Amino acid sequence: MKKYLMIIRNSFMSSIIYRFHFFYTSLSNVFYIIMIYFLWRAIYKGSGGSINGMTFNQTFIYLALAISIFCLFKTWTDWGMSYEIINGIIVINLIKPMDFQLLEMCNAIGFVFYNFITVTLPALFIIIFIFQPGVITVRSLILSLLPIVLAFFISFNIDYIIGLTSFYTESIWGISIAKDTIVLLLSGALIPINFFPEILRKIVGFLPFQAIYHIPLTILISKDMSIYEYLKFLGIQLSWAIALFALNRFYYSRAIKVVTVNGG
Amino acid sequence: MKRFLYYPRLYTLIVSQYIKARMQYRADFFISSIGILLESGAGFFSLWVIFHSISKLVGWSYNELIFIYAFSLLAITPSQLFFDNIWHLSSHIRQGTFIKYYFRPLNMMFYYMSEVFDIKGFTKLALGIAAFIYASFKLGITWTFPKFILLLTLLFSSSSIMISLMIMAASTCFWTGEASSVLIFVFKFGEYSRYPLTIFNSFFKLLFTYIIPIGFVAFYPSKFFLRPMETNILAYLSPVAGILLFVLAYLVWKKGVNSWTGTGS
Repeated sequence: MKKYLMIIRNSFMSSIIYRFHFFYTSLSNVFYIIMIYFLWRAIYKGSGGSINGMTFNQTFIYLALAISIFCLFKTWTDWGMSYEIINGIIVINLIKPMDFQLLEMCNAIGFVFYNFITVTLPALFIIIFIFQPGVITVRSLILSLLPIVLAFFISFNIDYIIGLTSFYTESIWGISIAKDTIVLLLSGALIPINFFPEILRKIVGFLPFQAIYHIPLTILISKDMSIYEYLKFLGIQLSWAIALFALNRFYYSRAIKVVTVNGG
Repeated sequence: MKRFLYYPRLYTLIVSQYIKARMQYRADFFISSIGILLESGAGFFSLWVIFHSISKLVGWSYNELIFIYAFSLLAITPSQLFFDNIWHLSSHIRQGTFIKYYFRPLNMMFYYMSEVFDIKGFTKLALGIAAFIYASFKLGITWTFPKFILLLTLLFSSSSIMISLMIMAASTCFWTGEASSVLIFVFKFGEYSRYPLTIFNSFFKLLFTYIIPIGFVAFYPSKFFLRPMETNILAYLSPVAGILLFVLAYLVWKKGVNSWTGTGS
């Protein structure tokens, strides 16, 4: 256990070197939040207060938090694994007496801590103090903690699938870009899923992506969620987490056989 | 005159070598193209979904927004096709490999940018053209020859604005050693250029017109074709803004190049 904690610490420490980097990432996120504020204010102008059962405040909070969570989960796991495989550095990680998937996950967790301090926390401050949406209650905040942890687990496993794919393809630029877009679109992070046409909403319900953003965000912005509904959401997330984890176990056992590293 | 022809000839030579090298990785090219197609197409998808719930966005119709979006895609494409090497500047600076560009009897910016010609950008171009034709067909815009010339001029100045902003962003790494976050920051603004500026309040309207002039990338130029009657004086400034900004970007780059001290190895 201690060795995994050290990995988390190392990954956190090595990411805070780029202080200059964090300033612009944070600023970029702030501008995005401002942009969606005005865009959705314009969309809601002329409508009678609520569209598809969501008020402007709810939609804005939903999207602003979605991008904050997206930045939180942006751990570059897939890019890192592809980099390791191209350079052959992966050997060092493979001979460590650790589970490879857990090792990558600890790396990702270190990154998440860094992202939380540098991007998500400033964003939360801006959302709460400048825009003052008044949608989030303490109850919903506490209820959403577990779903956010599960969402991270799902998000990591999707990145890890792409990372394992780099064992075969080496370069994953295109696949990663495609993955980011698909996850953002179909998880409701760009437009709330409530706005999707009926048929699309049904399809999205069968995919794992909505478990990353839509579920925790819905829990965050709803004032009176019944315990039954809450448990149902947790159940969906848990099943996806287990399914993806199992899939990755299997995928890894296949992919590891094709790894070839020349010399060293 | 000879010097004048020398550069285009050199450019084709360098680029054709680059394309030959890239074509070794056909699968990568194919997958990346799909990636770009999805990334650029996502915006259309968003518009399509949003317009299920509303019929107009601050007075702009669905097809008009498609037009503006297509315009911004077309305006961003040249920066990807011809100036994609800008994304690698930081790593060249940090590893010291940038030193090689000082030793050629060529314009440094030309030589540096000519080394990468991002063929993936063609996907974006194709998507942009298709959406542009679709929107102007739906809106019933008639294309006369003068209008077409105007379109090309405006696209040229729009892409010049985008390229200049990117060059300035990347040039910061001559002093700081790392510019990828600044580049992403500026690149994101390119994405915001696809919405009508009128959604913002007056402060941000001013900001996006004069300080970070992304309004000139797609919105002001598109107005020429969408609402010729409403075009304000600013729209005529697009080409001027494009040229001025490029000169400014070149000066920043030049200053950066002159002040870089190398890595010593």
